[in-house]
Amino acid sequence: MESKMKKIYFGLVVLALGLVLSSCEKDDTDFSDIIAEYQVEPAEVELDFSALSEIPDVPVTDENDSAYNDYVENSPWNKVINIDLNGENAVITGTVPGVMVQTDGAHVTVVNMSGPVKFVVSGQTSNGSLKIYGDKRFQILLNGAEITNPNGAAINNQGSKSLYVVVADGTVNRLQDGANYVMVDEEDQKSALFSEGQIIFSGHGELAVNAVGRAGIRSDDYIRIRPGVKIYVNSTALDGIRANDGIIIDGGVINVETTGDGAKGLRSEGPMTVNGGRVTAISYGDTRITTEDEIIDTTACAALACDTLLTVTNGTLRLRATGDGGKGLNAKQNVDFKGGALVAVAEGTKKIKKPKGVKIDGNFSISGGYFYSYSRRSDPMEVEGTTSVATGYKTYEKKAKVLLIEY
Amino acid sequence: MARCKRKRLILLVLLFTALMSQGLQADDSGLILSAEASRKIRKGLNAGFEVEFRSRNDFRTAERVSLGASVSYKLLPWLKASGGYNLLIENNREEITYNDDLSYNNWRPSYWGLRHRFNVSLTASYKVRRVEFSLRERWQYTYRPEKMIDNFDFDEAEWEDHKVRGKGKNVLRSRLQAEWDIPRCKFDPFASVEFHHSKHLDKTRFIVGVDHTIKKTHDFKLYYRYQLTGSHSSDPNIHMLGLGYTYKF
Amino acid sequence: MKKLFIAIVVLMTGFTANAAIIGDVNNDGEVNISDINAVIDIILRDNSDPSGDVNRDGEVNISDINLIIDILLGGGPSTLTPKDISLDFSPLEEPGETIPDDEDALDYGDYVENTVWATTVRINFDGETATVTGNPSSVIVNVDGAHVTCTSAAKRVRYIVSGTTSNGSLKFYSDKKFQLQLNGVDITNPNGAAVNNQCGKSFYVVINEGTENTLRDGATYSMVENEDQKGALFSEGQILVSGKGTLNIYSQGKHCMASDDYVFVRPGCNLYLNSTSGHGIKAKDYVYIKGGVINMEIAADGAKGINCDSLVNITGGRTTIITSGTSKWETDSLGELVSTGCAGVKADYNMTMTGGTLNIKCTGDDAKGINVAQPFVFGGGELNVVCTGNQVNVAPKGVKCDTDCTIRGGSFYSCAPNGKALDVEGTLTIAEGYTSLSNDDERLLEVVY
Repeated sequence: MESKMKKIYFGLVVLALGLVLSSCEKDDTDFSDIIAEYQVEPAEVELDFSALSEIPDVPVTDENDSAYNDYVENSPWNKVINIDLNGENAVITGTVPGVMVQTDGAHVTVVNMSGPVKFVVSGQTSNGSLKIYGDKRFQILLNGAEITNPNGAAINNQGSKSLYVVVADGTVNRLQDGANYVMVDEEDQKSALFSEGQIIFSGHGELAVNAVGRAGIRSDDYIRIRPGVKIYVNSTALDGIRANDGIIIDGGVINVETTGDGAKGLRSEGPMTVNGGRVTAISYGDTRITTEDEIIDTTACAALACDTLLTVTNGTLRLRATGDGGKGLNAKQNVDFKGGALVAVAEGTKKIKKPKGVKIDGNFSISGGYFYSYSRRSDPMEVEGTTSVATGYKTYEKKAKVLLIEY
Repeated sequence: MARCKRKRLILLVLLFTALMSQGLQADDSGLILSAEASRKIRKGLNAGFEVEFRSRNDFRTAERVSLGASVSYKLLPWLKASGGYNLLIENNREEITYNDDLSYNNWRPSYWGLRHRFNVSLTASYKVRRVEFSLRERWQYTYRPEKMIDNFDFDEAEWEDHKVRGKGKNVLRSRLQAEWDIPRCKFDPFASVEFHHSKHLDKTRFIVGVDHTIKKTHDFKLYYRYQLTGSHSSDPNIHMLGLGYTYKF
Repeated sequence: MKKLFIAIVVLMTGFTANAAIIGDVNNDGEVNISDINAVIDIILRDNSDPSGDVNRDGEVNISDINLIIDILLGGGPSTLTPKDISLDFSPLEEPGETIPDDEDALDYGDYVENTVWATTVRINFDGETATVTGNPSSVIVNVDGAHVTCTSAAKRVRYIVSGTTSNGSLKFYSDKKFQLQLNGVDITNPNGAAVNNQCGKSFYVVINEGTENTLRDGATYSMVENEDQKGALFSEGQILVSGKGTLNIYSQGKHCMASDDYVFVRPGCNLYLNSTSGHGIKAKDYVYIKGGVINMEIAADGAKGINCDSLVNITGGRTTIITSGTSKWETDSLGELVSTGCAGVKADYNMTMTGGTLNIKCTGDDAKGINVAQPFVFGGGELNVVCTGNQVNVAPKGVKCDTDCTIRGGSFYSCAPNGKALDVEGTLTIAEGYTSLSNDDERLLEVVY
C-alpha cells in the first residue's frame, strides 16, 4: 500500500515538476514584428559632395522662348569689369560706358546702366561686399572670390533683371554675411547672396555660402541651377535657398544644411521643378514659436518646402529633418512625381508639431522613379488630397514608418 | 481505503476537468505547487518556511515564486495567531495601452518584480462532529518597491525606461474553511471560501481539495481553487490546480 | 557865274550818265537779250567788269543774269519790302498753365510737378573741379576734373547744378526719369556735349527763375562707342523744358538742343539757341511749343531752326528764328548728291499752329521759312515768315507744304521777294471769314482773321 502511495505521489510530483518546467512560455503579445517595423532604421541622408556625372544642358536658342534669357550663353559678354577684392581695398580694372563703380575699402557699389556686363570677381576680403544697382542683365563670374560682409549681404543685386552667377571651373568661392545686417534706406537685403531679380547659377566651380545673419541665397524672383555647378549653403539663422517665384533645378550638386528653428533648407514660394542634379538638404532646427499680440505662431522646419506645384522628372532629392516637427518634404499644393529619386527622412520629436517624411496638402501623383519616405514618430507620408499611384511599379511597400514606391 | 481513495480522487479529477473545460474559454488556469517545512518549537509555537510556485496562462507561463517564513502561536485552544513574511518574485503581466484611434500607444512587456508581503492572522476554529470549521482573519500588507522597467512607446517608436513607483497595499482576507476527518480514509477533504477585501471585494477564492497525512510528518494536499475576480477589476477568473507538501518536524 | 553853270551841267550829265537803267549792261538804253550776252561775255572773259554786276553784290555771276531775266519778265527788280524780323528777348505775358492731375492722361508725365522728387543731388562747378553732395548709394557720381558723370539706378532723383566751368560737362546714365534743375550754371565742354543724357526716360530740364544758364559745346566731339552725342544739350529721352529762368545754348560742333525722343517747351522759359554748326532744336519725335520766349540764330548752311523727324505743334509762346546759311550739298540715303537749304522750321510730319507767335527770317539762298512734309494747319496765332535769299539751286519759299495746307485763323504773313510766299503741292484751303487777304504776285501772302 505504501509503495503504491509512494508511486502515486511520485507520479504526482513528476507531473507537478513537468507542469512547472513546461511553464517556460512567455505570455506576452508578440510585438516583435511591429516593433521591428517601428524601429526600422531610416535611409541615410548625409551631405554628399562627391562628383556627379551630368549631361550638360543645351541652352534654348529660340529668342521667343521664355527661358531664352536664363542661359548666360545667349547674351554678349564683351563688356568686362574686373573686381579684385584685395583684402582691404578693391581694385577695379576695366571701364564700360554707362557702368559706374565706386569702392569704399573693399565694399564695391556698381550702378549698371549699360546692358549685359560681366563682372569678374576674385580675391579675399573679410570686410567687403558687392552691391549692384540697375535693371539690366549682368553676370558675376566668381573666380576665386571669398567675400565676408560683417554688416550684411556679401553680394546684393538691387536690379530686377537676371543675375547670372557663373562659378568659374576649378575655383572655390565663399560668401558669408554678418550676424547683424545694417539696412540701407528701403532696400531689401534678405540673404548673404541676395538678388531682386532671378538668379541663374552655372559653371563648374564650387560656391559655399555661410549665412549667420539671414538666409543663404534668396531671390525675389526665381532661382535656376544648371548642371555642373556645386553649391553648398550652411545657414544658422534662416532658410538655406529661397525664391519667391520658383526654383528650377536642372542639375548641379547642391548641399544645404540649416540649423535655425523653423528654417527650411530649400524653400520655393512659386512652382518648383527638379529635372536633374543631386540635392541633399538637412534641417536640424526645431519648431520656431513666436508670440505676437498673444497669438502664438508655430513654424516647423522642412528640408524642402514648396508652396505651389512641385514637379520632379529626374535628379535626386535627399531630404532630412532632425528637429522637432521637422518635415522632409512639405508641399502646400500638389506634387507630381514623374521620375528621379526622392528620399525623405523625418527623425524629429513630436512635441509641438508633427514631423513627417513627406507632407502634401494637395494631391500626390507618382508615375515613375524612386520614392522613399520615413517618419520616426508617425505615418511616413501624409497626403490631404488624392493620391494616385500609376500602375507598373516594381515595389510598393507601406509599413509603419516607411513608404517605398519604386518603378 | 482503496475504494474511498479512488472514489475521492476520481470525483476530484472529474470535478476539476469539468470545471476547467467550462471555464477555459475566458478564464485562466494554472498550477500552485508548494513545499513547506514546519517545525514545532515549543508547545503551541510553530515556525515554518515555505516555497511556492505558481503558473498561469493555462500552465504555460510561470507566474510567481514565493519564499516565506511564518510563525504561529496558539493563544487559546480555539484561537491561533500567526504572522509571516513572504518574498514574492512575480512575473508581472504585460500592459498595452491604446490611443483614442485604437492604435497602440504603449507596451509594457511582462517583467519579473519583487514584492514583500507581511501578514498577521487570527484563526478561530470550532469542531462539530468530524468537521472542523475555522474562520481566519488575516491582515496582509504587501509592498512593491520602485523599479525601472522597459516600456515601448509606439508614438516615439523607441524603448523607454519606465519607473514603477513603490506602492503598498493592505488587504483583509477572511477565510471560512471546513475540514472533514474521515476515520477510515486517509484522504481528508476540505473546502474553503476566502474573501479578499481592500477598498472593495478584490477576489473570492473557492477551494475544494483533499489532504493526505502520512505519519503526521508528511502532508500532501491536492486541491482545486477557483478565483472569482471582484467587479472592480478586469482580470479573468482563474482555475488553479494545487499541489502542496508539508514536512512537519 | 559861268563856272557854277558848267559845274551844274557836268553834275547833271554825270547824274544822267549814272542814272543808267538797271539791267542795261551794254548801255544801249534798253534791257534785252544783248545785255544777257554782255554779262556772259564778262563771265567767260573772266573779267570782273563792274558794269556786269547788275545786282550790286560785288560779283559778276549767274545771279546777275537771273536779275536781267527777272527784269525782262517782271518789269523791274523786286520792290517788295518785307516785314522786319529780329530777335526779341522782351518778356512775354503768358496765360497760366493747368497741370493735368489725371494719372492716366497721356501728358501727365510731361509735367515735372507731377512727380515727388525724393532725392536731391547738388553739383557745383568751380572752374576745374566740381563738388557733389547728396547722392545716395544708388547714384554713383564720378568727378573727373569738372566732368561729372552720374550713374543712377534710383527713382525720382533731381540734380541741382550751379557754378561755372570752361572745361566740364554733365553726363547722366539711368533708366528712370529724372530732373535737371539749372540754378545758375555755365558749362563749356570743349570736347563734346555740355549736358549729355543717356537715359531714354523723361528728362526734365527746369530753368530756375531769376537764373541765367549757359551751355556750350566744342567744335569737335570726342565720341564714346555706341553712344549718341548729338548736341550741346543732348538727351536720349524726351526733353521737357520748364521754369522761368534763361537758358542760352551755344553750339559750334553739332546742334544746340537734340533729343532722340520729343521736345516739350512750356510757358515761362527763356531759351536762346545760337548754332554755327547745326540746328537749333533737333528732335526724333515731335516738338511741342506750348509757350516760352525762344530765340534762335542759326548760321550753318543747310541748318534749321527746328528740325523735327515727326510733327511740330505750336500753341503759344513767342519763337523767333533767324537763319543765315545757304544750302549745303550732302549725299542722301540713295547715294545721290542733293542740296538742302536752311529752314526756320522743318517737319517730316504735320505741323499745326493754333496760338502764339512764330517769326522766321531766312536770309540765305534757297532757304525755306517753313518746310512741312505732311499737312500744315494754321489755325491761330501770328505767323511771320520772311525769306530774303535768292534762288541758287531751288527757289526760296516762305512756306512750303509737300501735301495740303489749311489757313483758317490767326494772322498769316509770308513773304519771299525772290521766290514764292506759299508753295503747296497738295490742296490749299483758305477758310472763309478772314478780315483781309493780300497777295503780291506770288511773293507775298497775308491773311488776317
